[in-house]
Amino acid sequence: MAERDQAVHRIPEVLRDAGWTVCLVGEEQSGKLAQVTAGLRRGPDPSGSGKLITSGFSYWGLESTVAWAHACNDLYYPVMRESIASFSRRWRGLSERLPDGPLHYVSLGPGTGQKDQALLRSLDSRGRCGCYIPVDVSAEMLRLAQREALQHLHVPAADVLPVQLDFSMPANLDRLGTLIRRTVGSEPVVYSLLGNTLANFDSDTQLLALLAEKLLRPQDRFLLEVASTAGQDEAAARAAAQEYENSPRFREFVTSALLQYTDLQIDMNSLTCEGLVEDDRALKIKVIYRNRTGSELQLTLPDRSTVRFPDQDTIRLLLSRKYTRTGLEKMLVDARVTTVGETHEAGHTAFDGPAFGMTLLLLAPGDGTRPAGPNPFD
Amino acid sequence: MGLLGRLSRQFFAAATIACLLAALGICVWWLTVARGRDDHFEPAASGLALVAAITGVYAERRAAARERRAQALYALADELVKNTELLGTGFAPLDRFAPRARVYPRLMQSATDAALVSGVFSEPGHGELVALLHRWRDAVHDFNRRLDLTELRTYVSRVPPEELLAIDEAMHRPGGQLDGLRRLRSSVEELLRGRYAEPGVAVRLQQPG
Repeated sequence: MAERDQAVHRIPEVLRDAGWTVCLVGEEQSGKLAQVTAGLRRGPDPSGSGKLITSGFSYWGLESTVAWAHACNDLYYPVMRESIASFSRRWRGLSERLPDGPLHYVSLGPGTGQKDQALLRSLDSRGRCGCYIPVDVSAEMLRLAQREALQHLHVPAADVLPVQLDFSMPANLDRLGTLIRRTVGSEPVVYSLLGNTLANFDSDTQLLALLAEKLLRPQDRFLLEVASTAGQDEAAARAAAQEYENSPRFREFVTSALLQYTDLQIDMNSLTCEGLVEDDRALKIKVIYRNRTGSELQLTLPDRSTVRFPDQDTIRLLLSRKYTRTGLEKMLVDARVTTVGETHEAGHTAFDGPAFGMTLLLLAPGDGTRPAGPNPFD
Repeated sequence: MGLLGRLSRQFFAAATIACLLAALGICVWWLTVARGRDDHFEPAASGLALVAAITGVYAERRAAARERRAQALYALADELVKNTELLGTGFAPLDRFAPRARVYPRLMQSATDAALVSGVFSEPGHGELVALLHRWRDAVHDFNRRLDLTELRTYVSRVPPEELLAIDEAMHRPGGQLDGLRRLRSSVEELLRGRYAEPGVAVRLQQPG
């Protein structure tokens, strides 16, 4: 037992060699695979609400990670490219509103790590950089993000702690919260959920509320980046879907999960992006793979079981949203967080098209004080 | 209270039946010892009258009790169905973004009260139902009283939206008042469906509220 402890203590020394990274795996990966297959086993539904690849698993695995890195640099996919390019400028507008002293940074879904690099660079230049804890369901994504995020920075390797974990599960968040508090003590933490990742979840408001409840302490801050829309009609929804449809690299990325978890012969023409109006809160974009072969197919899943994939049946590969101002405000109220700072970047859309943009919000936990009046149900 | 007052209904029923059975036994004995043909009529007629008294009185009382119990069960089932609907949709949470004071529906308890005071479940074997109905009745009474207070609080003075939401959240919280009522309602339904599942009761429980 004593020798094992020593091995753990030797890790910082090992990390001096740049080729090594340490990664904490926080959950059973076989369980995650069962989750993917369960999503693909759902019943037929031509409207895109049946079979699906749930958020997170689109990035789970090496092929998906590489495809995502390519998509982020695709000239035909300006949304993500411009969002990365303008992040430093947008972040500068908010960084003044951070708490004083050293700050630890927890990046939930770090993506390619470029935005994390901008944030860490700004903290490092002021000598305020603490621990860097990227959290993602994909180990490959973590390695990629970490390499990119820490380039030319003075963050000691021992202060970097990647965690492989699905942060959309409440039990995992409890454990993650404990790990972070043990690591940083009472010092403030900046959490981030960037790149419109929140919009990929069916229950986006609930996820934000969960993250705020389980992770945020009064001294912590939460950096949230979401895509926004000024218009909210059918034409705007179609234009939003078009943004995704135009990019060949993005199409390769969304189908990479299909390639990985099924034996489907992928036909890129079977991929469609559907734009819908979601009440008054958002434009919803569903990226769907539809069986257009005219006959029923059989999908073989990673556990060697087969599922029916009838003609016109669909697999939802990705879900995204562009939030309206009202929708965003409602979501923040519902998640019990307050806005400390905000920057908004108008998008790249043409003068006669709907205005899409990216909103970066610095959030703090709601004050949580209860009204003083008598409550008959207390 | 005298000695007679302390004796239970079961004692009097047993004493009456015992007397009637003894009289019937005497009639039978009388029939066997009677000598002349005409002498047989009197013990035979008395015996038949006693048989009618024993079976008729007892059976009629049982049938009447059964009928009263069935009526009480039907009323309980109807009330349960209405309360199921109220607990399902009648207490929808307030709109977080436009909270307003509202008049809440009240849960019904008249059939429960009637079932308890009528004594139709006073015979042995219904102890569990009676205890559960008492708990249900107390919970409904308590809940309805809290609704009175909520409405007084929210209508009499200008209450800020946060307070309206706080009251609503406290009402809906897991393990709170509404949750407890829903659990009790389920227990009553389970008991009615299980042990008192007469055809009429089952049909009523299947009806939408």
